[in-house]
Amino acid sequence: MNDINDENLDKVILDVFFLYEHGESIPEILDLYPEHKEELQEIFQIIKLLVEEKKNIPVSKDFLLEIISRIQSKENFRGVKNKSLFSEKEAKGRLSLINIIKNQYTMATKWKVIISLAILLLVVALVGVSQLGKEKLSPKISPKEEKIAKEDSVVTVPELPQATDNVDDLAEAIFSDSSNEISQIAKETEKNLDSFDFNDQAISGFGQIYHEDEL
Amino acid sequence: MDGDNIEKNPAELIRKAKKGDTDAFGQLYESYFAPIFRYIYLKVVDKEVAKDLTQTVFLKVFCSLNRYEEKNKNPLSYFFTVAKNTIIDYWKKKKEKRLNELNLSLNFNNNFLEIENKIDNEKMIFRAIKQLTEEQQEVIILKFIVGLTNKEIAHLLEKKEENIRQIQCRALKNLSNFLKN
Repeated sequence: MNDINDENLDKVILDVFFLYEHGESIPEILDLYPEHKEELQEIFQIIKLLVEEKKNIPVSKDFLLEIISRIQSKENFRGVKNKSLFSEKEAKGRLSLINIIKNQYTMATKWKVIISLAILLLVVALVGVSQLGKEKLSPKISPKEEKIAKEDSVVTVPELPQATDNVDDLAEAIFSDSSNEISQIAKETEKNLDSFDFNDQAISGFGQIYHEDEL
Repeated sequence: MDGDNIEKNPAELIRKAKKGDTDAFGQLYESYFAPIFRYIYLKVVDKEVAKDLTQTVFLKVFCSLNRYEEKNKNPLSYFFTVAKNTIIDYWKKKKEKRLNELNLSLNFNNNFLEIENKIDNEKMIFRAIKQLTEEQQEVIILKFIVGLTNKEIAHLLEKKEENIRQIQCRALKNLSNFLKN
Protein backbone atom coordinates (compact mmCIF):
# COMPACT_ATOMS: atom_id res chain seq x y z
CA MET A 1 0.00 0.00 0.00
CA ASN A 2 2.86 2.29 0.97
CA ASP A 3 4.63 1.48 -2.33
CA ILE A 4 1.51 2.32 -4.28
CA ASN A 5 1.27 5.65 -2.48
CA ASP A 6 4.95 6.26 -3.21
CA GLU A 7 4.45 5.47 -6.87
CA ASN A 8 1.47 7.81 -7.00
CA LEU A 9 3.46 10.56 -5.33
CA ASP A 10 6.35 10.04 -7.75
CA LYS A 11 3.95 10.45 -10.64
CA VAL A 12 2.42 13.54 -9.08
CA ILE A 13 5.83 15.09 -8.46
CA LEU A 14 6.80 14.44 -12.09
CA ASP A 15 3.61 16.12 -13.29
CA VAL A 16 4.12 18.99 -10.87
CA PHE A 17 7.64 19.55 -12.18
CA PHE A 18 6.40 19.57 -15.71
CA LEU A 19 3.84 22.25 -14.84
CA TYR A 20 6.35 24.22 -12.76
CA GLU A 21 8.91 24.24 -15.57
CA HIS A 22 6.22 25.43 -17.97
CA GLY A 23 5.46 28.49 -15.89
CA GLU A 24 2.54 27.41 -13.64
CA SER A 25 2.56 29.16 -10.25
CA ILE A 26 3.00 27.13 -7.04
CA PRO A 27 -0.46 27.94 -5.56
CA GLU A 28 -2.10 26.92 -8.84
CA ILE A 29 -0.20 23.63 -8.85
CA LEU A 30 -1.06 22.92 -5.21
CA ASP A 31 -4.72 23.52 -5.97
CA LEU A 32 -4.55 20.90 -8.70
CA TYR A 33 -3.38 18.20 -6.25
CA PRO A 34 -5.15 18.79 -2.94
CA GLU A 35 -4.57 15.16 -1.81
CA HIS A 36 -0.76 15.67 -1.97
CA LYS A 37 -0.74 19.30 -0.94
CA GLU A 38 1.37 18.73 2.18
CA GLU A 39 4.08 16.64 0.45
CA LEU A 40 4.21 19.05 -2.48
CA GLN A 41 4.56 22.03 -0.15
CA GLU A 42 7.59 20.33 1.44
CA ILE A 43 9.12 19.67 -1.95
CA PHE A 44 8.68 23.29 -2.99
CA GLN A 45 10.17 24.38 0.34
CA ILE A 46 13.29 22.31 -0.41
CA ILE A 47 13.57 23.77 -3.91
CA LYS A 48 13.33 27.23 -2.38
CA LEU A 49 16.11 26.38 0.10
CA LEU A 50 18.35 25.03 -2.68
CA VAL A 51 17.84 28.10 -4.86
CA GLU A 52 18.58 30.35 -1.88
CA GLU A 53 21.77 28.38 -1.18
CA LYS A 54 22.82 28.84 -4.76
CA LYS A 55 22.72 32.59 -4.17
CA ASN A 56 24.77 32.17 -0.99
CA ILE A 57 27.65 30.43 -2.74
CA PRO A 58 30.26 33.17 -3.00
CA VAL A 59 30.65 33.66 -6.73
CA SER A 60 31.82 37.13 -7.57
CA LYS A 61 33.63 38.98 -10.31
CA ASP A 62 36.52 39.41 -7.86
CA PHE A 63 37.08 35.64 -7.87
CA LEU A 64 37.07 35.61 -11.62
CA LEU A 65 39.56 38.47 -11.78
CA GLU A 66 41.72 36.83 -9.13
CA ILE A 67 41.86 33.60 -11.08
CA ILE A 68 42.65 35.43 -14.32
CA SER A 69 45.45 37.37 -12.61
CA ARG A 70 46.82 34.10 -11.19
CA ILE A 71 46.84 32.62 -14.67
CA GLN A 72 48.71 35.65 -15.98
CA SER A 73 51.32 35.75 -13.23
CA LYS A 74 54.04 33.15 -12.83
CA GLU A 75 54.96 34.55 -9.45
CA ASN A 76 51.52 33.87 -8.08
CA PHE A 77 51.76 30.31 -9.26
CA ARG A 78 54.88 29.94 -7.21
CA GLY A 79 52.79 31.28 -4.36
CA VAL A 80 50.26 28.53 -4.92
CA LYS A 81 53.09 26.03 -4.82
CA ASN A 82 54.30 27.43 -1.51
CA LYS A 83 50.84 27.12 -0.02
CA SER A 84 51.42 23.36 -0.39
CA LEU A 85 47.91 22.95 -1.66
CA PHE A 86 49.45 21.36 -4.71
CA SER A 87 52.52 19.21 -5.01
CA GLU A 88 55.73 20.54 -6.58
CA LYS A 89 55.17 18.44 -9.66
CA GLU A 90 51.68 19.84 -10.02
CA ALA A 91 52.88 23.40 -9.60
CA LYS A 92 55.52 22.82 -12.29
CA GLY A 93 52.79 21.45 -14.48
CA ARG A 94 50.81 24.58 -13.89
CA LEU A 95 53.78 26.75 -14.83
CA SER A 96 54.19 24.82 -18.04
CA LEU A 97 50.49 25.38 -18.70
CA ILE A 98 51.09 29.07 -18.26
CA ASN A 99 53.90 28.88 -20.80
CA ILE A 100 51.59 27.15 -23.22
CA ILE A 101 49.03 29.89 -22.75
CA LYS A 102 51.69 32.56 -23.18
CA ASN A 103 52.84 30.87 -26.37
CA GLN A 104 49.28 30.83 -27.57
CA TYR A 105 48.99 34.56 -26.86
CA THR A 106 52.27 35.39 -28.65
CA MET A 107 51.39 33.18 -31.57
CA ALA A 108 49.77 36.12 -33.38
CA THR A 109 52.98 38.19 -33.20
CA LYS A 110 55.05 35.24 -34.43
CA TRP A 111 52.75 34.79 -37.37
CA LYS A 112 52.97 38.47 -38.18
CA VAL A 113 56.78 38.17 -38.45
CA ILE A 114 56.58 34.93 -40.45
CA ILE A 115 54.01 36.33 -42.87
CA SER A 116 55.99 39.55 -43.46
CA LEU A 117 59.17 37.51 -44.09
CA ALA A 118 57.29 35.28 -46.50
CA ILE A 119 55.98 38.31 -48.42
CA LEU A 120 59.51 39.74 -48.60
CA LEU A 121 60.87 36.45 -49.96
CA LEU A 122 58.06 36.30 -52.49
CA VAL A 123 58.84 39.83 -53.73
CA VAL A 124 62.56 38.96 -54.06
CA ALA A 125 61.69 35.78 -55.95
CA LEU A 126 59.36 37.68 -58.31
CA VAL A 127 62.04 40.30 -59.03
CA GLY A 128 64.56 37.52 -59.73
CA VAL A 129 62.19 35.74 -62.10
CA SER A 130 61.42 38.96 -64.00
CA GLN A 131 65.17 39.66 -64.41
CA LEU A 132 65.76 36.19 -65.79
CA GLY A 133 62.90 36.69 -68.23
CA LYS A 134 64.43 39.92 -69.52
CA GLU A 135 67.79 38.24 -70.11
CA LYS A 136 66.14 35.45 -72.07
CA LEU A 137 64.18 37.89 -74.24
CA SER A 138 67.22 40.01 -75.27
CA PRO A 139 69.01 38.41 -78.34
CA LYS A 140 72.51 37.06 -77.91
CA ILE A 141 75.19 38.74 -80.05
CA SER A 142 77.60 36.36 -81.73
CA PRO A 143 81.35 37.22 -81.66
CA LYS A 144 81.32 37.72 -85.40
CA GLU A 145 78.50 40.27 -85.16
CA GLU A 146 80.26 41.95 -82.29
CA LYS A 147 83.46 42.29 -84.35
CA ILE A 148 81.54 43.82 -87.24
CA ALA A 149 79.82 46.24 -84.90
CA LYS A 150 83.19 47.30 -83.52
CA GLU A 151 84.65 47.82 -86.99
CA ASP A 152 81.59 49.85 -87.97
CA SER A 153 81.96 52.06 -85.01
CA VAL A 154 85.51 53.04 -86.07
CA VAL A 155 85.19 56.07 -88.35
CA THR A 156 88.14 56.58 -90.64
CA VAL A 157 88.82 60.22 -91.08
CA PRO A 158 90.58 60.88 -94.38
CA GLU A 159 93.74 62.88 -94.19
CA LEU A 160 93.26 66.31 -95.56
CA PRO A 161 95.94 67.67 -97.96
CA GLN A 162 97.90 70.63 -96.87
CA ALA A 163 96.40 73.93 -97.95
CA THR A 164 98.19 75.48 -100.96
CA ASP A 165 97.39 78.22 -103.44
CA ASN A 166 97.76 75.82 -106.40
CA VAL A 167 94.56 74.80 -108.34
CA ASP A 168 96.09 71.52 -109.47
CA ASP A 169 96.67 70.50 -105.87
CA LEU A 170 93.02 71.25 -105.09
CA ALA A 171 91.79 69.17 -108.06
CA GLU A 172 94.06 66.29 -107.04
CA ALA A 173 92.76 66.45 -103.47
CA ILE A 174 89.13 66.31 -104.64
CA PHE A 175 89.86 63.31 -106.87
CA SER A 176 91.76 61.48 -104.17
CA ASP A 177 88.95 62.14 -101.68
CA SER A 178 86.34 60.75 -104.07
CA SER A 179 88.51 57.70 -104.82
CA ASN A 180 88.82 57.16 -101.04
CA GLU A 181 85.05 57.28 -100.69
CA ILE A 182 84.62 54.80 -103.56
CA SER A 183 87.16 52.42 -102.04
CA GLN A 184 85.42 52.69 -98.61
CA ILE A 185 82.03 51.92 -100.15
CA ALA A 186 83.56 48.96 -101.94
CA LYS A 187 85.04 47.73 -98.66
CA GLU A 188 81.68 48.06 -96.87
CA THR A 189 79.87 46.19 -99.60
CA GLU A 190 82.44 43.41 -99.36
CA LYS A 191 81.95 43.24 -95.58
CA ASN A 192 78.17 43.06 -95.91
CA LEU A 193 78.50 40.29 -98.45
CA ASP A 194 80.75 38.44 -96.04
CA SER A 195 78.17 38.63 -93.25
CA PHE A 196 75.59 36.82 -95.38
CA ASP A 197 75.69 33.06 -95.30
CA PHE A 198 74.48 31.74 -98.59
CA ASN A 199 74.12 28.27 -97.22
CA ASP A 200 71.32 29.52 -95.03
CA GLN A 201 68.04 28.10 -96.37
CA ALA A 202 66.10 31.14 -95.15
CA ILE A 203 68.14 33.46 -97.28
CA SER A 204 69.01 31.33 -100.27
CA GLY A 205 65.58 29.90 -101.02
CA PHE A 206 63.44 31.99 -98.60
CA GLY A 207 62.08 28.72 -97.32
CA GLN A 208 60.05 28.09 -100.44
CA ILE A 209 60.16 25.31 -103.02
CA TYR A 210 59.35 26.10 -106.58
CA HIS A 211 58.39 23.63 -109.21
CA GLU A 212 59.89 24.03 -112.58
CA ASP A 213 56.43 23.88 -114.19
CA GLU A 214 55.31 26.92 -112.25
CA LEU A 215 58.15 28.92 -113.75
CA MET B 1 21.45 27.98 -17.54
CA ASP B 2 19.52 30.66 -15.73
CA GLY B 3 21.27 33.89 -14.86
CA ASP B 4 24.45 32.83 -16.53
CA ASN B 5 23.09 32.64 -20.05
CA ILE B 6 25.61 32.83 -22.80
CA GLU B 7 24.71 35.55 -25.26
CA LYS B 8 26.75 34.09 -28.05
CA ASN B 9 26.54 30.51 -29.17
CA PRO B 10 29.05 28.58 -26.98
CA ALA B 11 29.87 26.21 -29.82
CA GLU B 12 30.78 29.19 -31.97
CA LEU B 13 32.85 30.66 -29.14
CA ILE B 14 34.76 27.43 -28.62
CA ARG B 15 35.37 27.17 -32.38
CA LYS B 16 36.86 30.68 -32.32
CA ALA B 17 38.85 29.88 -29.18
CA LYS B 18 40.29 26.83 -30.95
CA LYS B 19 41.55 29.13 -33.70
CA GLY B 20 43.41 31.17 -31.08
CA ASP B 21 40.75 33.83 -30.40
CA THR B 22 41.45 34.58 -26.74
CA ASP B 23 38.49 36.97 -26.51
CA ALA B 24 36.18 34.11 -27.37
CA PHE B 25 37.77 32.00 -24.66
CA GLY B 26 37.38 34.93 -22.26
CA GLN B 27 33.65 35.01 -23.00
CA LEU B 28 33.38 31.28 -22.40
CA TYR B 29 35.32 31.71 -19.17
CA GLU B 30 33.00 34.43 -17.96
CA SER B 31 29.89 32.44 -18.86
CA TYR B 32 30.93 29.12 -17.36
CA PHE B 33 32.86 30.44 -14.37
CA ALA B 34 29.88 30.72 -11.98
CA PRO B 35 28.28 27.33 -12.72
CA ILE B 36 31.63 25.53 -12.62
CA PHE B 37 32.64 27.29 -9.41
CA ARG B 38 29.31 26.44 -7.69
CA TYR B 39 29.56 22.83 -8.80
CA ILE B 40 33.11 22.48 -7.49
CA TYR B 41 32.33 24.38 -4.30
CA LEU B 42 29.53 21.97 -3.44
CA LYS B 43 31.87 19.03 -4.06
CA VAL B 44 34.75 20.31 -1.93
CA VAL B 45 33.03 22.88 0.35
CA ASP B 46 36.14 25.04 0.58
CA LYS B 47 36.24 28.45 -1.02
CA GLU B 48 40.01 28.52 -1.65
CA VAL B 49 40.16 24.96 -2.98
CA ALA B 50 37.14 25.68 -5.17
CA LYS B 51 38.92 28.73 -6.59
CA ASP B 52 42.08 26.72 -7.31
CA LEU B 53 40.20 23.88 -8.90
CA THR B 54 38.07 26.22 -11.02
CA GLN B 55 41.26 27.82 -12.24
CA THR B 56 42.72 24.39 -13.01
CA VAL B 57 39.59 23.46 -14.96
CA PHE B 58 39.85 26.51 -17.19
CA LEU B 59 43.56 26.00 -17.74
CA LYS B 60 42.96 22.37 -18.67
CA VAL B 61 40.20 23.33 -21.08
CA PHE B 62 42.33 26.07 -22.62
CA CYS B 63 45.26 23.73 -23.15
CA SER B 64 43.18 20.89 -24.50
CA LEU B 65 41.11 22.97 -26.93
CA ASN B 66 42.88 21.45 -29.92
CA ARG B 67 41.68 18.02 -28.86
CA TYR B 68 38.09 19.16 -28.36
CA GLU B 69 35.69 17.78 -30.93
CA GLU B 70 32.29 19.37 -31.18
CA LYS B 71 30.56 16.25 -32.50
CA ASN B 72 31.44 14.31 -29.34
CA LYS B 73 30.46 16.84 -26.66
CA ASN B 74 28.87 20.24 -26.41
CA PRO B 75 30.97 22.94 -24.68
CA LEU B 76 28.99 22.77 -21.44
CA SER B 77 29.48 19.00 -21.16
CA TYR B 78 33.12 19.45 -21.99
CA PHE B 79 33.67 21.97 -19.18
CA PHE B 80 31.75 19.87 -16.65
CA THR B 81 33.57 16.67 -17.61
CA VAL B 82 36.88 18.44 -17.04
CA ALA B 83 35.55 19.80 -13.73
CA LYS B 84 34.42 16.35 -12.61
CA ASN B 85 37.79 14.81 -13.44
CA THR B 86 39.61 17.65 -11.69
CA ILE B 87 37.59 17.03 -8.51
CA ILE B 88 38.31 13.29 -8.68
CA ASP B 89 42.04 14.03 -9.11
CA TYR B 90 41.93 16.42 -6.17
CA TRP B 91 40.43 13.82 -3.82
CA LYS B 92 42.81 11.13 -5.05
CA LYS B 93 45.83 13.35 -4.40
CA LYS B 94 44.48 14.38 -1.05
CA LYS B 95 44.08 10.74 -0.04
CA GLU B 96 47.60 9.87 -1.21
CA LYS B 97 49.07 12.84 0.61
CA ARG B 98 47.38 11.84 3.82
CA LEU B 99 48.53 8.26 3.54
CA ASN B 100 52.08 9.37 2.92
CA GLU B 101 52.23 11.98 5.64
CA LEU B 102 50.17 10.56 8.45
CA ASN B 103 49.70 6.93 7.49
CA LEU B 104 46.15 7.18 8.67
CA SER B 105 44.45 4.28 6.98
CA LEU B 106 41.41 4.83 9.19
CA ASN B 107 40.59 8.03 7.39
CA PHE B 108 41.04 6.52 3.95
CA ASN B 109 37.50 7.05 2.77
CA ASN B 110 36.37 9.92 4.91
CA ASN B 111 36.19 12.77 2.43
CA PHE B 112 32.53 13.29 2.95
CA LEU B 113 32.85 13.05 6.71
CA GLU B 114 35.37 15.86 6.51
CA ILE B 115 32.98 17.91 4.44
CA GLU B 116 30.22 17.20 6.90
CA ASN B 117 32.32 18.48 9.77
CA LYS B 118 33.21 21.59 7.83
CA ILE B 119 29.63 22.39 7.11
CA ASP B 120 28.37 21.22 10.48
CA ASN B 121 27.46 24.69 11.44
CA GLU B 122 26.36 25.63 7.98
CA LYS B 123 23.07 24.98 6.28
CA MET B 124 21.26 21.73 6.90
CA ILE B 125 20.47 21.50 3.24
CA PHE B 126 24.13 20.76 2.39
CA ARG B 127 24.14 17.92 4.89
CA ALA B 128 20.93 16.64 3.41
CA ILE B 129 22.43 16.67 -0.07
CA LYS B 130 25.37 14.60 1.16
CA GLN B 131 22.96 11.87 2.27
CA LEU B 132 21.79 11.34 -1.30
CA THR B 133 23.27 8.82 -3.72
CA GLU B 134 26.07 10.10 -5.96
CA GLU B 135 23.70 10.22 -8.93
CA GLN B 136 20.99 12.08 -7.01
CA GLN B 137 23.53 14.57 -5.63
CA GLU B 138 24.76 15.23 -9.14
CA VAL B 139 21.27 15.89 -10.50
CA ILE B 140 20.22 18.09 -7.57
CA ILE B 141 23.42 20.16 -7.67
CA LEU B 142 23.31 20.58 -11.44
CA LYS B 143 19.61 21.41 -11.45
CA PHE B 144 19.16 23.72 -8.48
CA ILE B 145 22.63 24.97 -7.54
CA VAL B 146 24.30 25.20 -10.93
CA GLY B 147 21.04 26.02 -12.68
CA LEU B 148 21.13 23.73 -15.71
CA THR B 149 18.02 22.55 -17.54
CA ASN B 150 16.94 18.90 -17.53
CA LYS B 151 18.02 18.65 -21.15
CA GLU B 152 21.50 19.94 -20.32
CA ILE B 153 21.80 17.58 -17.34
CA ALA B 154 20.64 14.66 -19.47
CA HIS B 155 23.29 15.46 -22.05
CA LEU B 156 25.93 15.90 -19.38
CA LEU B 157 25.19 12.65 -17.56
CA GLU B 158 24.42 10.80 -20.79
CA LYS B 159 20.94 9.88 -19.67
CA LYS B 160 17.44 10.44 -20.98
CA GLU B 161 15.56 13.53 -19.83
CA GLU B 162 12.84 11.28 -18.41
CA ASN B 163 15.45 9.51 -16.23
CA ILE B 164 16.73 12.83 -14.98
CA ARG B 165 13.21 13.86 -13.92
CA GLN B 166 12.78 10.58 -12.04
CA ILE B 167 16.14 10.90 -10.28
CA GLN B 168 15.28 14.49 -9.39
CA CYS B 169 11.92 13.44 -8.04
CA ARG B 170 13.40 10.68 -5.84
CA ALA B 171 16.17 12.98 -4.66
CA LEU B 172 13.69 15.65 -3.57
CA LYS B 173 11.63 13.06 -1.71
CA ASN B 174 14.76 11.82 0.07
CA LEU B 175 15.77 15.36 0.97
CA SER B 176 12.32 15.97 2.34
CA ASN B 177 12.49 12.83 4.47
CA PHE B 178 15.97 13.69 5.76
CA LEU B 179 14.99 17.21 6.71
CA LYS B 180 11.81 15.97 8.45
CA ASN B 181 13.88 13.66 10.62
